[in-house]
Amino acid sequence: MIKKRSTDILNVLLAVILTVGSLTFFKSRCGADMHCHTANTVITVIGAALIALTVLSFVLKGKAKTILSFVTAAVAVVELLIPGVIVSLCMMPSMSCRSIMRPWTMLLSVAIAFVSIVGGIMNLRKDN
Amino acid sequence: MKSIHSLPFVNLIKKPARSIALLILSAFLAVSAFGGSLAVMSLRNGIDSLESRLGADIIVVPYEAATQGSYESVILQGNPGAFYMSNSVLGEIAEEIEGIEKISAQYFLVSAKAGCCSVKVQIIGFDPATDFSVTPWIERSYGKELSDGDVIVGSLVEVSTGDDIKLFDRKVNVVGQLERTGTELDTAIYCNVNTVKQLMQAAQVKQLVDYNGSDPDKVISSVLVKVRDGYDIDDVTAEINLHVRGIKAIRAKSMISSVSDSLSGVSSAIGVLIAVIWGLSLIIMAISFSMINNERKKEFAVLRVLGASRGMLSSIVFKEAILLTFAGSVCGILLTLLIGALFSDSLTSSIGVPFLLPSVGTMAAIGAATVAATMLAGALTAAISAHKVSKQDTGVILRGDN
Repeated sequence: MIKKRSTDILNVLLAVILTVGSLTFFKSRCGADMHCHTANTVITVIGAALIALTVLSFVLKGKAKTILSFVTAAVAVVELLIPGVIVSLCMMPSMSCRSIMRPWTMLLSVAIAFVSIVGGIMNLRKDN
Repeated sequence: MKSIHSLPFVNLIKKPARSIALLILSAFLAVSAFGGSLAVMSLRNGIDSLESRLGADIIVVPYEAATQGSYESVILQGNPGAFYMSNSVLGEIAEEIEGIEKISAQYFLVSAKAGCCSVKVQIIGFDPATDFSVTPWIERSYGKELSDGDVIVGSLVEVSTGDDIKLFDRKVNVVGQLERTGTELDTAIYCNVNTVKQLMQAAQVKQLVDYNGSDPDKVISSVLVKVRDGYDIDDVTAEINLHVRGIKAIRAKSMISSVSDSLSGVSSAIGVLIAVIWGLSLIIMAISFSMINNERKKEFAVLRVLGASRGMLSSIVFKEAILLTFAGSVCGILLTLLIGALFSDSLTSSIGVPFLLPSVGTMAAIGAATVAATMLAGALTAAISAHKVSKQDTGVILRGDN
């Protein structure tokens, strides 16, 4: 059962690390009045949404699950674009928002997107 | 015959766990070699870049700045700072000291806020008429002389050309961005002497900077000296220290050499680490190939019965090793580049010494060498197993007398 659910389990773990990380080890330490603080908040909120989506994948089956996988991948791509593209960050590269928050968010978002797409394709093949 | 040629590839696909384990080991080899080589080269490039950026043979700073290490802190560690001395020092050195080819003053200022975030930004002012340190660098990136009110920013300052930014409530126009140096000079803002003096006055009005009680128009932060050919730099440095009071003349090379010496130690340590990792990994790889091929004795015996020659069996083992090490090394290099690209800002900030990646061509060459070395390592470790496989007696194996 673990083997069958491996992509789902991995996705939930990644989403949890992303959300918890945005509040802890890669939290932006710039001032609360800065753009990057907004970026951090949005990352946390979307991270929570990703947790909900990835948990939902345990419940759904068939076509619905396949669609959910690709929706999760799309949301992960949006999360990837939050720091620095959708919400601007500080100017200086040494600031924590640029040097820590952005790379971790990008890494985890790409991982979630990749695992979701792989899971979606595997599900599609199983249905066919 | 097509099936025997595709057999190595099929064997790897059909045993994913085994293949992935060996792939990870190869990737580990590649990460250590590629990452380690890049790190050493980047540290060396950073020091060379800093040396060429300083441009001067001798740097003269206020005595307190030298004894407290403020100048090194600004240039080598990128901690924004400022220190001041009377501008009469410039005239004293120019008139009294022999052997000076070029001499120019620089002005340091630290901005409390630069319209980006609550972080100090280093401002460096220079005199275009006499400067020989920053001007060649600006000419390469901007090509024109900086006008009053214009600034040019280091490569890591995230503003666009044409933007206006406020420093001490004075608006300045960003006219260009300098090329990367891998030093903390990449996060500085550069302007001409008139602009920096206006900013210094604005900072004094806001009571943010104290120029040791002096008029900001009468202070400088440092003097850069280029020694004429035929004169000994150490002698000129000693003369300046002897004849000019309240200052410290430092040979630029000696400031960099202390960092350079510590980097030599770091480079040696990285080299030893790479050697240890490779030594252990090669042993593990050789043992792994040997164990795997030992388990596959019956498989090879069946292939022999079906008509495969001893040479074909050896080539299957060989090709599997080459495919695995190639894929593993490529994955390792891509992983190193990904981690480097994502975390470069964090890494360079935490290292605290100049760090400049080599050119794309050089990185590609190092990558190719890493792949070749990893594949060679895989081939050598597999060769032992391949030789054993070719010597096996089919009859003995199929009877079960292993």
